[in-house]
Amino acid sequence: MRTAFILITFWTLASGLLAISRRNMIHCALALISFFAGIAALLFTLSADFLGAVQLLIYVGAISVLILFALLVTHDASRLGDRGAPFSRGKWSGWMLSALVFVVLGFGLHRVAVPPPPDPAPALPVAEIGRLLVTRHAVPFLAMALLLTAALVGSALVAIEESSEHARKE
Amino acid sequence: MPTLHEYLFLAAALFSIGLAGVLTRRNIILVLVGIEMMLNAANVNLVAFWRYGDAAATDGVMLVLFGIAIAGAEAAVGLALIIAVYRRFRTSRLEEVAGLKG
Repeated sequence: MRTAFILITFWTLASGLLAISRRNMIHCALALISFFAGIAALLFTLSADFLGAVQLLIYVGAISVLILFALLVTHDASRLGDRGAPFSRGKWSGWMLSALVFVVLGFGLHRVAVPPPPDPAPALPVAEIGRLLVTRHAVPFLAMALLLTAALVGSALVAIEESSEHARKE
Repeated sequence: MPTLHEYLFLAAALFSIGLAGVLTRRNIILVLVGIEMMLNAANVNLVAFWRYGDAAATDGVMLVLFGIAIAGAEAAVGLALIIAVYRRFRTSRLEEVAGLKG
């Protein structure tokens, strides 16, 4: 358990750093996939099995493909290798600011006393999650359905509007 | 079993890495990648609090479930917008998309 946690820590930190620091954007996307897988492993170590599976399906499966697709669509062949400065001008202040955020968060965490873990992990079977979704959390569940529909229609609209504009121009 | 502190420190580190990605990259898609990393770090926090907290309180897990759904919708809309911006400006670099007025 201990070794697994240390391995996963190094895995996620390394792939996270790679994902934001590589010049080649495809490498960034691949490191991001490994970062998502590391997060799923973390959820498994927290004995949240269902969430780990959801993380694998949604992030490792769907969102990473979406990001790879967007990178390929917006790929500019004239900038192959992306020599024109992948980092913004204020990159050093950006690094400093995020390091500062980490120091502040760590300082706050350092001072908090935490309880020991409950020994048998709290069990939350999938059937219970489903029951909670339609009873206690029914309103957010319906709001989520509305949000996902709106997101679907919205993304389709953004694409369709643009292509009809193209047709008018030509 | 790792302590709650270790999970929280790891999540804080991952959050800071995501923030650094948002602040330092020029490509819009990689800024979105940084936002996704920050959302994932927050999810780890919530699940850690569920695991180390009161066993009867299931809100941490449910909140993460809703958070993942929102992040999925956000990624879909965000990438659709990025592709629309790319069609108009022929670029996906932030500083070249200076004028969003029709």
